[in-house]
Amino acid sequence: MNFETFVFYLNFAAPLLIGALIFLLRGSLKLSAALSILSVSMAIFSTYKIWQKISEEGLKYLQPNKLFYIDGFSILMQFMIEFVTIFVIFFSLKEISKLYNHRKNQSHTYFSILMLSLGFMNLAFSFDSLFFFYIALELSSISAVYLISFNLDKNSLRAGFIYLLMVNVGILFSLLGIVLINYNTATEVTISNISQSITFLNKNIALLCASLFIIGFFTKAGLMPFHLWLPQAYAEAPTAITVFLAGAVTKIGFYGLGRTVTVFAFNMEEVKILVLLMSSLSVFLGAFLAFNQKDIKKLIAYCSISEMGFIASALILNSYAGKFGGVFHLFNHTLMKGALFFSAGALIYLHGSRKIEEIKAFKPKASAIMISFFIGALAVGGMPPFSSFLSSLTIIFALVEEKFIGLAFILALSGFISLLALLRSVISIFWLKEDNLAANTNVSLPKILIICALFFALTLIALGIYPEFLHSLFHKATLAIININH
Amino acid sequence: MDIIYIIFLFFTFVAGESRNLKFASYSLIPQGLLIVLSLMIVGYVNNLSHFYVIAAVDLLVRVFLMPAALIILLRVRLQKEEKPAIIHPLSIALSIVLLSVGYKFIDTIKIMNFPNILSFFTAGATAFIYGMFLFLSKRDMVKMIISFFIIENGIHLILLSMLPKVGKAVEFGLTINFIVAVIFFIYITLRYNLLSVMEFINKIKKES
Repeated sequence: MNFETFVFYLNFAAPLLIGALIFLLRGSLKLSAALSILSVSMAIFSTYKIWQKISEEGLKYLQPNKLFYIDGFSILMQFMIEFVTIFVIFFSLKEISKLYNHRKNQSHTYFSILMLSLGFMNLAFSFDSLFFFYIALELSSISAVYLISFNLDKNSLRAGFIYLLMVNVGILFSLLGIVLINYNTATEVTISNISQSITFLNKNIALLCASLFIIGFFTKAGLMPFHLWLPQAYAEAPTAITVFLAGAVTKIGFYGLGRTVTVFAFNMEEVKILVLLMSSLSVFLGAFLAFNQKDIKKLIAYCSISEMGFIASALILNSYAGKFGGVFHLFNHTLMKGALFFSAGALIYLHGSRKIEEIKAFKPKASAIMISFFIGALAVGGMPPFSSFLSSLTIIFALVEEKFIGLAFILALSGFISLLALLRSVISIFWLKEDNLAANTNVSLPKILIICALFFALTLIALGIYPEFLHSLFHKATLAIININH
Repeated sequence: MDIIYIIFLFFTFVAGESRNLKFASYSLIPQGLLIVLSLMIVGYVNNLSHFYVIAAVDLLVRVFLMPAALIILLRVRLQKEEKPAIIHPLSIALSIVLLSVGYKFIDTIKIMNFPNILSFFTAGATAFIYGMFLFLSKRDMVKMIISFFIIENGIHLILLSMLPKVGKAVEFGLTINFIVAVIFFIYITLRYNLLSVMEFINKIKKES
């Protein structure tokens, strides 16, 4: 094995092997976290090297052997989940020490499973065969269950159970879709040959397959009407894991959509219309339901469903602008949810409650958290100068260009409703205060929690002012989706 | 072979409709055995040796591991099913509707020229559709797991009908997924049941 191949395998092998090592060592919280950071750093290094090779040699994709297929879209997804995981590890260190102290002796299992989940996700982004993609996807989903139920109280266990059952059953539909294409085309369906494969399908069978993929990947992404697992899982999981779910685990559903459903939509208008209808449902109802939430994490979760509808409706469009907007918004979604959930996590750390009414009862003493929450809320509304403004605008223009003016209006309106729902909470938590409220002086906020929230918020501004910084990555990812459609 | 699939579906319905959870769990054993038996027969008739290996794995997972896991779960809870979201007579009526739709779907598949695999496919598709219905209508955690097993068995049969074209690595990969999912199901449900029992004991202590 030469150095290049070794570096390629490092991408998923490092998190998987070090994940297993963490479990076997049964070390302290700090040791487990240090090893986790080491493995994610190795994965980032590997992804960077693959990106360097693809961009320097002007390759459309990299195929080290028959099993794997890496292109711009895979690399974008890998970078995204790896960076999210780094911050998740830092946040977890403090969160477990304080809020989950009763589970501190199991921190090695926590970090081990986090690494295994990351490894399986990286593996899923690397496979060419849809069957193997499915296997890696399911393993990453299943392992996330332990993390959701980490608190081991009744609510978190129930949330984990619903997640496990819904996601497992949901993605079985996508397996059925893969099986049907496979049988009808008599060849193993892969990412590189899916566009040719579906041309051999009878139209009804093709529509059936597309519907099965839509059910499977919509469930995984947490889009309506298959979203039932999402608000509960986001709310009951430790905040660091909520960020991991929002920024990494659900993204694999969009990867599946980008690899399969977009190909069907390119060939069949009906599939495009179906996805647009379903995603507009997510966009509108997500924003609408966010309004009534009393739990800060559930509030952000419903806004997240709305935002994800944005992404799905953009990815499914046939134009470059639509797909570029979708890819850009996919990245921005991770940043927005990072800023919002980490801020919410810091508030929960301070006040020990997720209930907005209970958080409101204390004097705020975390101005940095207020800033990051406020930035996250404005970014969800697609306000300038945040990067989500650019991606939202691109998506709306792309929709108008393809004559979906009504949907563009729903998207803009829903963004505004989400913004109002979030701003209402920000204002009531941080500004509308009576003078006689007690300050929660017993707890001080660790700097690392503030850094995590601020990093995501500031990146939203930086990318909004200077989007060229990541343009080539988004461009390559967009071209990768378009390439497999043809 | 058809008689095997009829018996398979009979046990599927028994597992789905029985209110006694222990009995429902035991009904999964003959269901698994019939999958193993059909695999052995197809392997023998078509001279496909790797079918025997898959049959051995299925024997271990679907006949022993899966039902045993459910029995473990039932140790710390009542064996009677929690009231479902959709009650029994309606459940049966809806099953018939769903199966009719499924049958219609099979007709479409027939036109698409699925030659000698139809029995595998029909049984698998029926189990899948029925399992989906159970999944949507049940509220009991154990019954929901049983519905997941039925769906998985259905998918397994559909996949087996296409196995010569798919490759055995895929089949083994999917079985590993299934085992991992079962382990997590047991872990979560067991913890949940234990907490419920503890809560119940504490409540009684407080009252007395």
